[in-house]
Amino acid sequence: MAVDVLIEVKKAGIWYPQVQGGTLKERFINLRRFTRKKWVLRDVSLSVRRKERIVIIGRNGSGKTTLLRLMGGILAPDEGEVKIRGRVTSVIELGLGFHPYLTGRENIFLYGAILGFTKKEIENVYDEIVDFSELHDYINAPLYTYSSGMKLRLAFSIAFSLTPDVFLGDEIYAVADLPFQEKSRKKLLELHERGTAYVGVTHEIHLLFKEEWDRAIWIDDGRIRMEGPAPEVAEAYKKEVLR
Amino acid sequence: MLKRIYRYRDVLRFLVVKDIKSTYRNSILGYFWLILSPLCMMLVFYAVFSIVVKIQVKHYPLFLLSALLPWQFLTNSLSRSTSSLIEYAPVLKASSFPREYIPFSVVLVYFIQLLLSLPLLFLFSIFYHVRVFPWILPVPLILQFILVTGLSFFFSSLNVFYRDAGVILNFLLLLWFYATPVFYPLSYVPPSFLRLYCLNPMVYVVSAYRTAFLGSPVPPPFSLLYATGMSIFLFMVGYLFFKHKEQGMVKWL
Repeated sequence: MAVDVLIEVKKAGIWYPQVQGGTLKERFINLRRFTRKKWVLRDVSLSVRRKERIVIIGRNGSGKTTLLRLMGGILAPDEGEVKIRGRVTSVIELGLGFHPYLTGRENIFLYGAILGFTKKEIENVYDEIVDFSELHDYINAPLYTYSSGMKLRLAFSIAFSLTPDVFLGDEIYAVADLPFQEKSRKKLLELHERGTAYVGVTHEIHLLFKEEWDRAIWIDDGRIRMEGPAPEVAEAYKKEVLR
Repeated sequence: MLKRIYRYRDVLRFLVVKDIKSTYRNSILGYFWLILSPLCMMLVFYAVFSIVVKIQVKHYPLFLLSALLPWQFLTNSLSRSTSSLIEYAPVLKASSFPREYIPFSVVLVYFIQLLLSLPLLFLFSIFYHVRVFPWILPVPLILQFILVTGLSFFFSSLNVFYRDAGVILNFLLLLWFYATPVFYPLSYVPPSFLRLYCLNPMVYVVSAYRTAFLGSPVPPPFSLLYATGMSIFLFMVGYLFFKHKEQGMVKWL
């Protein structure tokens, strides 16, 4: 593994159990067989280097989120190999580590710890998190009093204020309002300048032409269909999908 | 692996603090419940087994309470940790911290509650003027902690794959309750059954509590041996099973 490679995926595959229907009697007889393996990723190889920016595109259900989970160490591969070096934070289904009865402040520490940071590291960026979220007046109120937009802002702020080696984001802009989206984009650039690699899943293909990406990966039906410069991959993807 | 567990140590701390704080938030009596709920439980048992069934045991309220506290630790930990991984499904699907922390934090929370409610037993001992032997207490505490942690690992991971585990656990706990001298004394067990009966590690735990707080005779050495062996064995089985199932867990949540 080269020095600056942070994540290396080698010929990895993952299957998910697919629960079959059937009557109770059938289920009892085939106790083991009522779940079938469905491969959602197969023969995927890629690597993420320090400071790299990679974008993943593909249709719904093609395995993009599963690939992120694989790279984040959330799922272990069923075949092949995944090596992870350094600290990886995954922002998949943002803010779901939250607890409604704890205050915003307490949630910052819980969520930060879940993402792999120590109490001290979180304390160091605590003010930054609160400033970025603009939730000063609510930070000591329990989370169930927050609106969904506020919760989202808090989750964003936590994830963006900590500095991991690799940041994995699953459609992170899709839900925030426009001003906050802009703010987040800037913050992500800052993270990148500090040395963080970024792997993002997006459906906003037009971004692939505008923004700076080192590489784009097109996932189709669990396999890498194409890998290369973002505009080229986006062009090919558009051609196929809008055919 | 140990390095990973250490790196994420604050997750455990925050999970435990979160649980303790949120359990009694929006509750009027708050932390008083720690003392009140075993007391209420004791009163119910006292009413049934002293007035209706008429079990003749000296200092029966203290006798009951000294078994109910460790028993509550066992049932509460097991029933909550069994569903804990499912409860935390969204978090587990989105982050990669060591999965052990989820059931383990539940056990830790109830263990802390147990420790906090021990003074209640001391108060009862003083009230009844019985001789106490508190130095034996670390033994049942450690043994039961190992036992409960191992079983929590087992049932929490099993429950992810087969939701039947939670249902089976309920029956198991009921059976286990009657096979443990909670509301009856050990002397009610026929001597010919005693060795078999003592295979249940909770027999030793409860007996040791009664030595500690009621001055009952020290439980026989073979029961300590059985309890230690069983607790360590069940812990190993539970933990190894958990580690074996851990990798694919997220797929089933």
